[in-house]
Amino acid sequence: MNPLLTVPPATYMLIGALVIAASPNKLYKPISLLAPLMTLACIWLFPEDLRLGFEWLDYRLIVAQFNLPTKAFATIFATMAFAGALFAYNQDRKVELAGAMLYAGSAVGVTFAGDLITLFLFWEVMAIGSTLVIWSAFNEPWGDAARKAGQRYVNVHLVGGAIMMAGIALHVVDTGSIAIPHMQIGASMTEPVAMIGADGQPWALPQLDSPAAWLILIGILINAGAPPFGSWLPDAYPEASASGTVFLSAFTTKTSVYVLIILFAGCNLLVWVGALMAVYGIVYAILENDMRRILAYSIVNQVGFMVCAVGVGSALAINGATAHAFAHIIYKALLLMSAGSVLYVTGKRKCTDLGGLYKAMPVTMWCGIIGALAISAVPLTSGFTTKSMITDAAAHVSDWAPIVYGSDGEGAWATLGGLNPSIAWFVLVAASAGVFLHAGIKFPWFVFFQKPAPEKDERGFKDPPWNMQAAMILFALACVVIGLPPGPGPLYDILPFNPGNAGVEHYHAYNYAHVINQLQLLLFAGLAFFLLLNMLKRTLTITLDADWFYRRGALLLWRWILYPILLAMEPFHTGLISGVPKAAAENFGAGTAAAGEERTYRPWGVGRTVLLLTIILFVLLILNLF
Amino acid sequence: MDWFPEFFRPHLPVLVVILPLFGGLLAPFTALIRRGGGIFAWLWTALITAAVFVCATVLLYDVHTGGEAITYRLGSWPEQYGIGYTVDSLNAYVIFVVALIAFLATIYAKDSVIDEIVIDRHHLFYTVWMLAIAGLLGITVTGDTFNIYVLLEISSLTVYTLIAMGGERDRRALVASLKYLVLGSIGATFILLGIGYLLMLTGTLNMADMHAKLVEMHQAGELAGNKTVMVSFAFLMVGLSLKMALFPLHLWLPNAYTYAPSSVSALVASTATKVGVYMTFRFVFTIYGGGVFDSGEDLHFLALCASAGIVVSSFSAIRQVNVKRVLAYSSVGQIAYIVLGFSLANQDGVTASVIHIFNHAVIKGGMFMAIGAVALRMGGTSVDDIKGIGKRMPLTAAAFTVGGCGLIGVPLTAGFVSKWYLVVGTMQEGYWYLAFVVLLGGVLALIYVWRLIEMIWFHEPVDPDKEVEEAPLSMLIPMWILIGASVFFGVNASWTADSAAAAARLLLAGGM
Repeated sequence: MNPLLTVPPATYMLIGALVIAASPNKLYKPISLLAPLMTLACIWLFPEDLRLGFEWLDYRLIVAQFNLPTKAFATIFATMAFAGALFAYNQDRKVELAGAMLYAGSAVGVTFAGDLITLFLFWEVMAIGSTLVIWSAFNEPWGDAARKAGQRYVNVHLVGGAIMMAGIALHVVDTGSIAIPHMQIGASMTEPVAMIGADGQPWALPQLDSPAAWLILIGILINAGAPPFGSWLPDAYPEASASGTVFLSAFTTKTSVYVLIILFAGCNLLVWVGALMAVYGIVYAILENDMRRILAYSIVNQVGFMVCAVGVGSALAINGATAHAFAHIIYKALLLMSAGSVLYVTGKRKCTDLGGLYKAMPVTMWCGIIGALAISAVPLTSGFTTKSMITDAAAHVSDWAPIVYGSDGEGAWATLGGLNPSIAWFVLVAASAGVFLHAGIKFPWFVFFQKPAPEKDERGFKDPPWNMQAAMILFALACVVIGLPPGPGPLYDILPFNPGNAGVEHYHAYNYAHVINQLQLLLFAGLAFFLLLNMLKRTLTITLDADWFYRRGALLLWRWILYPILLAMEPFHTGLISGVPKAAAENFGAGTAAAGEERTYRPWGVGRTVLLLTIILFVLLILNLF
Repeated sequence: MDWFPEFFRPHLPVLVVILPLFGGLLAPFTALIRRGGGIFAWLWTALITAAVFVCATVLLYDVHTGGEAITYRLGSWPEQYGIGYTVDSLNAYVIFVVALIAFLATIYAKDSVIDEIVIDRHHLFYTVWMLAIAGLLGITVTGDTFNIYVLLEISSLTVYTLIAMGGERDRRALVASLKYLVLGSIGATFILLGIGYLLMLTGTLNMADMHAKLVEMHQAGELAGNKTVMVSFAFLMVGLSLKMALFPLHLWLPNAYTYAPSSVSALVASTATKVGVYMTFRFVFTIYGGGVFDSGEDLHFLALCASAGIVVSSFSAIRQVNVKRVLAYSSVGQIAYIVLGFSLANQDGVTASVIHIFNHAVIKGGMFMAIGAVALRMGGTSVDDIKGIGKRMPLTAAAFTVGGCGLIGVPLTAGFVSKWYLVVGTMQEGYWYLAFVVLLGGVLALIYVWRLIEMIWFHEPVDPDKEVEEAPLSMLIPMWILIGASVFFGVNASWTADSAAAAARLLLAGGM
C-alpha cells in the first residue's frame, strides 16, 4: 500500500499548520491550499477497513478508522478548509491560516478517531486552533473586542474540555474500555439504529444513566452551542476577521454533531435540546443588528435541527443530520463569505450601516442570495433536500428510538414535562419558516437592498478580489448541485446509511407534499417579512444573551455576596494569622518589646509559616492518636 | 550502553555524587586563570555536569535492564554500619531527571550568569552550583537516612547561597534567601527529629533495614499504639511538606524563585522540590509502607492541603505582576498535584505523581529558562517586560507558550499525561471531588497562563524603540530541549509512563 496513505488523513493539515506558522515568506499561501487537498485525497483513498493505531499509556489508541459518518464529515471539513483558504488567499493572515489548518485538521482528526481518548485529544487541539483564528483579528479595528472575545471563547472551551475529560475518564474507569460503539441499521430507515459497544453489548451512554454520560453530553453540548451554554458562539464568531468567521462557522459545532451521532444517537433528550436551539437561534437572529452575528445565531438554529435529528435516532434521521451538516457547512460558509466580502469592501458590520450594495457588488449579492435560499430550504437548493430528511424522520414519532430514562423506565425525558413528542415536528417546521425570515430574507435585504443603490457608486465599492469570488462561486455551485432532484445528489453515497448498504432505498426529497409544503411555508414567511418590515428594521441595540447571567452574575455574586462574607471573616482571619502569634509572644516571654517591634518591621511570613507548621504537626499527631 | 567503560560501571551510584562534589570543590581554582572572566569555571562545570548526566543515563539503563536494585557500599562497609547507596527504578528515574536538568541548566547559565553575577564571583557561583547538584543527587541516591539529612543540608545551604546571589540585581533576594534559610532549617530540623525517633525505635539508619525492623516489630505486635513511630512520622511529614513547599507551608517559595538569578530559578524550580517529593516517597512508602504504619488519615490530610494548594496558589498566580512569581505560584500548584497523586496511594495516582516529577521539571525548567532569556534581553521579568516579545524574541516566546500549554494540560503535551493519570486515579478511588479540583486547577492555569501568552503575542511593547534581539543559542538550545521533551513525552509517553509505572509498583509493592 502507498505509504503516503497509511497516515491519518489529518496529518497533512496538521503538518501544514506547522509549515505555515514557520514559513518566513509568502510560501505559506500555496501550502494553505495544498494541505486541505492532500487531506481530501487521503480521506478518499484511505482504505475502508484500515485501522491505524498506536500504544499510548495503557491503551491502544486508534487514530484513524472509518466510522459510518466519517467520510461525509471529513470530506466537507477538508473541502471547507480549502475554500476558506482560497477565500483568505489575498490577505496576509499567516497566524489565522495556521490556526485554521490546525483547527480544520483536528476536526478531521476527530471524525477519524477510533476511541474516546483520540477523540478528546483532537477535540482540545481544535479549541486552540479556533482561538488562534479569533485572536488573529487583533489588528482589525475591533481588535480589542476580538482579543477579549477570544479569551472568553478559550475559557468556555477548555472548561467544556475539562468536563468532557472528566466524563471520559469516569467512563473509562467504569467500563474499562475506551472504544467507541458502532451503529447498525434497524429493520428499515425509519427504525432506530442500534448502537453496539465494543463488548457486543448495547451502548449505554444514550440512556444517560451514569454521571459519565451526563458529563460527556454536557461537554459536547457546550461545543454544539446549545443554550444556556452556547452564548460563546454568537459572542466570539463575529469578532473574527472576514475570513476567520468563515472558518469558525464550519468546524466546532459540526464536530459536536458528529460526536453526538457516534456516541449519543437516539438519546431523546437531544430532540428537545435541538428544538430549543432552533427556536433560540431564530429569536436572537431576528433581534440582531450585526450581519455576521445574525448568521452566527442562525448557526445555532441550524445545528438545532441536526441535534434534534440525532435525538430521533433513526437511520433516516442520522442520514439527515449528516447530510444537513454537510449542506449547512457549505451554505453557511457561503453566507459568511458574502458577509465577509461586504465587510472587507465596506468595513461595516451593522445592518443599519449597510444596504444599497446590489449594483456595486453583484457577484457577492447573487452568491449571498443563493446561500440565503439554501439555508431557507427553497426547493432546488441543498437545504431543501437535507432538511426534508430531518423533518421526515421527526414526523415518524412512533419510530423514535425506544430509549427510556431513569431507573423507573418511564421515559421521563422523552416526554419532558408532558410535552408531546410530536411538538418537536411542529417546532422544526415553524423554525424552518423562521430561518427564511432572518437568514433567507433579512440578511440579503438589509445588506444588499434596503435603500436604493446609487447609479454610480462614488464610494468605490466593487466586488472583492478574484479569490474571494472564486470561493463563493465554488460553494454556490455546490449548494445547487446537492439540491438538484431527486435527492442530495452525489452526497448520498457517503452518508452513513447509503444505497451501498443492503436494504437502503434512495431517499426522495422531491415529492409533491414536500415541495408544496415548503413553498407554502416560505411564501407566507416572505409575506410576513415585508408586512412587518417596519418592525424588523434594525436599530442600534444590544441583545442580552444567557452569558450575561454568568458574566455579570458572577461579578454580582462576588461583589454582593462572596466579598461581604470575606470581609466579615476578616477579623477571624487576622486574629488567626497575626493575633494569635502576637498574643502568644506577649504571654510567653518575648513580651511587649517584640510586640512593639512588629509595628516597625513588616512581618515577612516566617512567623506565619512556623505557626502553620505547628498546627499541621498537631493535626498529624491528633489524626494518628484516634 | 556497552561503550561505557567497565571499570567505572560498578561505581556509577557513587560517581553521580562524587563528580559534582569534588568538581565543585575544585571549581574555585579556575579563578587562578586570570583570563576569560568566568568562562573556565563554566566550562569545568559544563564538563562535570555532562559527565554526571552520562553516568545517570547509564545508571538508569542498568537499573532498567538489570531489573534489580543496585546497591553500592561506600568503603565496602556493610550498609548497617557504613553508608549504602541503593538505586532502584524510582531513584534512577529521579537521578536522571535531576542530572538532565542540571546539565541543561549549566549550559543555559553561561550568558545569564555573565549578565547577572559580578564577574569576580563566577568561580564561587559555579562552586556552589555544583555542590547544590551534588547534594540533590546525593539525597536521591542514598539509602541511608542520616546521609539524607547531611546531603539535604548541603543542598539547602548551597541553594540559599545561590538565591542570595540574586541580591546584586534585586536586594529582595537577600531577604528571600534568609527567609528560606530560617524556614528550611526548621524543616530540616523536623526531618532530623523524625529520623532520630526512627533510629531510637529501630537502632539502624539504613532505610531497608529500618523497614525490615519495623515489619518485625509490627509482626510481634509492638507497633500498635506505639507513640514513637507516630511522632516520628508526624515530624517527618511536616519537615518534608515544608521542603517540598506543600501548601500552606509554601510561603518561602515564591520570593525565593522570583529573586534568584535566572539560571538558579530554572535549576531549583525543577529539581529541589522534586527531590523533596522523592524523600517523601521513601519515607511514606519504603519505610512506613507495607502495612507497618497506617498513614491513611495523614494522606487524606495531605490530599486536603494539596487540593487547597491547587486552588489557592492558582488564584495567587493570576494576580501576580512578575512573571517569575506567576511561575513560582504555579509551581506550588504543580507540587500539590504531585502530592495529591501519591496521597491516593493507588497505582494510577502514584504513577501520576512520579510521571509529573519529570513532566513538571521539563515544563517549568523550560519556562523559567524562557523568562530568564527575557530578563537577559529586556532587563526584567515584570509583565511589562514580556509585552510584545512575541515579535522580538519569537523562539523564546514560542517556548514559553508551548510550556504554558503543558502547565494547562493541553493534550499532546506532557502535562496532559499527568493530568489523565491523576484524574483516572482519583476516580478509581471514587473521589470525584478531587477530580473536580484537578480539572479546576487546569482551568485556573489556563487563566494565568493565557494572560501572559496574550501579553506576549498581542500587546505592543512598552518601549517600542528599544533594540531587542533573540536570546543567544546557548539559552535557546537547552530551553527548547526541555520544551521539546515536554511535547515529545506528551505524544509518545511510553518511556515516562513505563518508568513511572515501574516506580509506582515498586513503591506500592508492600501495600500500605
